[in-house]
Amino acid sequence: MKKIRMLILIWLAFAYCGQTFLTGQSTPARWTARETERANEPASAVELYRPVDLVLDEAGLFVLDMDDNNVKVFSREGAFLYMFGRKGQGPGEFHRPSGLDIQGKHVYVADAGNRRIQILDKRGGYLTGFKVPLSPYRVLALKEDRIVVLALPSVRSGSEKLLHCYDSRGELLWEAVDSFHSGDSVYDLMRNRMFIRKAPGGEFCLVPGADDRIVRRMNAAGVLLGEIKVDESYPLQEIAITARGGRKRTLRPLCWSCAIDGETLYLLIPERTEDGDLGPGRTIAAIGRRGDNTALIDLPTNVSRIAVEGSTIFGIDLDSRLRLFTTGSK
Amino acid sequence: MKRAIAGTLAVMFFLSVFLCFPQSSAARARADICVDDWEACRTRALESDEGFIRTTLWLTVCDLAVGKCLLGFTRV
Repeated sequence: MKKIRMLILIWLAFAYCGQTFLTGQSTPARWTARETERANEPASAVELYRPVDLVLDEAGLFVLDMDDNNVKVFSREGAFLYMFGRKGQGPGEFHRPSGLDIQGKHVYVADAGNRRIQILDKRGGYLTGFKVPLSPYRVLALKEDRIVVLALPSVRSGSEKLLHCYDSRGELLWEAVDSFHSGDSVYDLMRNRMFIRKAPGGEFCLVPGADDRIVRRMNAAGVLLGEIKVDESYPLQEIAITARGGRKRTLRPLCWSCAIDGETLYLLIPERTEDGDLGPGRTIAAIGRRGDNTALIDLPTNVSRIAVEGSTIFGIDLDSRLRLFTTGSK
Repeated sequence: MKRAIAGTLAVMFFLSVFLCFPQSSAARARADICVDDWEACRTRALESDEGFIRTTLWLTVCDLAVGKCLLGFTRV
């Protein structure tokens, strides 16, 4: 009897290991993040109106505030340092900016309302800029002369290119990735909503917003280096949205926001709200280079935007406040 | 007779150039404003922290509003 029990245990152990080996899936570790008090909290009560993009740099955390038309800079401890930019059309002025990146000593802003990319120093001093014939949604500077712009497609005239790469003078170098097009402008826009994040080695990741588990890794020449399939243990939820003609279509959002730290991709998992919608969540999945979901990190509150560095998570909560978290123990 | 027809055509041509051209450029300027407002509306919808259903409804409103704007009823 003991032998049979032992054999069953060994068989179960082998079966589990075999499955993990064959499918590449394993149960992700569960971590809890605790909130860290921000330094200089009362004085740092500068208000964020619609923070849409976060970028971490040695100078601090740069937050792009779309409604305030400026960039606010915080220390890594969360203390407000300074801000630059104001509403307008002149140099160093923004109109509904939607994307931000930093490369070396330069700050790159997707100035969506003015249909241009602006290049500034880290204090907001205008250096150069160029107009783009599209609606720039996000921007990534891989090198000083490799500026990748993620466009918001008009989705009215068939498929369009989503990625456009320019040099610092505004010369178009390459275009890549066709947008999804079904003729339903609202559904198509939700499908075409993507995230771009810088990866090590001058590369970047294109993360789909919905209906896809494939993260594309590309280089500065626009070459597709590989596709990472986020493993099946990552929860993909369904939501029925109203499409053209009043009929329902199903959307499977992958993430609400994302960040990269080293070779790990962090996806903010959308969460079911009380009224049945899917909104910003409080769980972040850590995805490895092969798409394996290595850990799930629970935050104490829901956040809409994230940036990650080591064990520190910077998040924007639902009241548009900057919050700092530290990943703790299991 | 030929002169009368030629004169009438010339007058019609100049009238169309001077009266219609400013209108078409104004219409183009209006269309540009409509499209700019539509893009602003869509970006705001996507950047709102509402759920997917509400964002979708908002995007639908943006589409309806741009249609009305292009037809000259209102601005987005």
